[in-house]
Amino acid sequence: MKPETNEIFREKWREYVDSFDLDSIPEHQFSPEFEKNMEKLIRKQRRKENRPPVLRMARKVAVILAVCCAVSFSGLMTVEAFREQVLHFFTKTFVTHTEVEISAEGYDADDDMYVLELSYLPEGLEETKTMQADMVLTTAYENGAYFLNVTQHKLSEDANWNMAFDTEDAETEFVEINGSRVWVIRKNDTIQMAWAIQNAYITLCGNLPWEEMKKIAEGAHLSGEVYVPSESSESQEAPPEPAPDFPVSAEYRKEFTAYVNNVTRFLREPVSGPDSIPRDSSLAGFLLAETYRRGTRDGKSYPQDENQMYQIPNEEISATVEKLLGIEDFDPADIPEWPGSREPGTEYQLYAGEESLPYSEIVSSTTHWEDDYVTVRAVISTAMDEEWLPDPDYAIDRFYTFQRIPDENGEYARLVSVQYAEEEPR
Amino acid sequence: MIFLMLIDTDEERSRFEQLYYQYRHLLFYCAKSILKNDCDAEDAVQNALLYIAQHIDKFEAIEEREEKGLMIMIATQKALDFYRMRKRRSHLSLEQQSQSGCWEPSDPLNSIAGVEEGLPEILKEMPSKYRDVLLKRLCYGYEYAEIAKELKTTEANARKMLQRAREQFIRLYQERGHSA
Repeated sequence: MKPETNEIFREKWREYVDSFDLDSIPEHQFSPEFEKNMEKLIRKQRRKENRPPVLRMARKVAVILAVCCAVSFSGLMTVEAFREQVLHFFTKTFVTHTEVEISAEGYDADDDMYVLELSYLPEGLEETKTMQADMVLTTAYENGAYFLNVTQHKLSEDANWNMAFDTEDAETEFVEINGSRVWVIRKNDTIQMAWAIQNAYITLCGNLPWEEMKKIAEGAHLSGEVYVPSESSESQEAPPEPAPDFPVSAEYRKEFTAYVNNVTRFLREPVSGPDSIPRDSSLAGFLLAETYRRGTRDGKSYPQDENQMYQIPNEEISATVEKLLGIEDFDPADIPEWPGSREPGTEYQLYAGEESLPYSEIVSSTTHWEDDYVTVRAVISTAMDEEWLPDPDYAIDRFYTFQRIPDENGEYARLVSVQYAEEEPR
Repeated sequence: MIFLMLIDTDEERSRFEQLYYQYRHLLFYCAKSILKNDCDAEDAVQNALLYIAQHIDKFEAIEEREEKGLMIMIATQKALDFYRMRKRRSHLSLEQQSQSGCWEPSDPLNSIAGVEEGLPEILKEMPSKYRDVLLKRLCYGYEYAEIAKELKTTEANARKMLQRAREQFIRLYQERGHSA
């Protein structure tokens, strides 16, 4: 195409672009969901573009927060009683959670616990429960799908607080609210906030939009009224601290995802147990792909024949069957449909490699980790459309159950059953 | 948004944020003119913004006019992707299904009004896929490998598509009495 024609093309496009006057484009009121998603994206981009980062929690730090109480502080303290109050935060960050130990200096144990007042609560949010124990009070609020838990811990020199915050895959930062440094943890739809107000350490946990959580925090203050525990709730146990997710390392989750990809690619027919899996080419494909994947992951290399097919030893395939399907003494000869042709008596099967794997893409999935089991509900697309995207007309919905089995490397998952998603899980 | 209020100078806002605040209504306008409803338009705008975030380097050191053009191209492309996906998922009536060969999904561009109507005739007549690859290559400097990745095809196929797009543009141009 001659340069002049290129320029004509560009000129036509520019004419079109110039016809858009930004000042006359009507403004749109974006939905709260959209704004929330944009907040996340903007935060991510800030980090990516190396803008002033929001402060992150280090692996193990001692953060000293000096809080100097002045006489004007709601009259809670006389001049004579003035002492510098210092909070030490010792944090240990794990993959699944962050543990925080709060040590207080200058906080008098005999000081009263004051009533925490929230001058702002979103309309419709109703108090549903109050739980109290020695020096800690939690109030729960709900409004349909929204919830908010407010916990007040009384600070004292005589006792440290140990708390655990779910920070796995969460975004954390510090923001300033009413002169206090507030720790904000965002994970999925849930926001946790934690900060000190005078002689209390406050935590908020809820799934309200950020603007609402911020307003609630801004409106939180200690009144001059001393909190008097009610008799009926005196014997209640202390409210549970936020529990971390069941510990599963990020590395293992990645490994599990790769494993599930192969399971969903080949094993889609519902079965009540591994013994019911048909001994057909799908099972063969799964065993080859998974044996190869694990072997190469562990540093093995497999010889190739003249057709570039990998030779996967029968004994390794049998070991894969025993491990992942719980079937002992599996004989590859039980499957008549192994790919490729081999000389009689050879002790291996042939695998064409990852490029030969049939198309399969998990479009969406939900994974639940429990002590002994992990379940995966997956929507799997089995074909691409003309746009080279997963074709929704060829999507299937399945429910997989795996048993979690510990081993010397941590754990692995053994397939227990495959069900249609609408059936009750076992 | 609290952290933007705390750190609110132009230098400290990311490039993405600057673009977001400047063009979000334009993106929505382009998407809605194709998709005709707010929900789908917002979804398409979100896809467009994700794309922009992933290709933010394209917006470094370009003029405002080019910036605006790139925004329009991306918004339109994402809205059309959404439109096609939505159309594929729509239910086919049994009557239509039983008359084999009688029904074919109509080209989305046949019924799209709005921003596409404003295109110069010659660009409107090109299939949107060809127009997009030409725009990316000629106006916004996309490499062949980048175009191939977006089309989920090989670089060789992307070059072929570009060649076809060029040929079509030249043909349309000549039909209007110009020499290429």
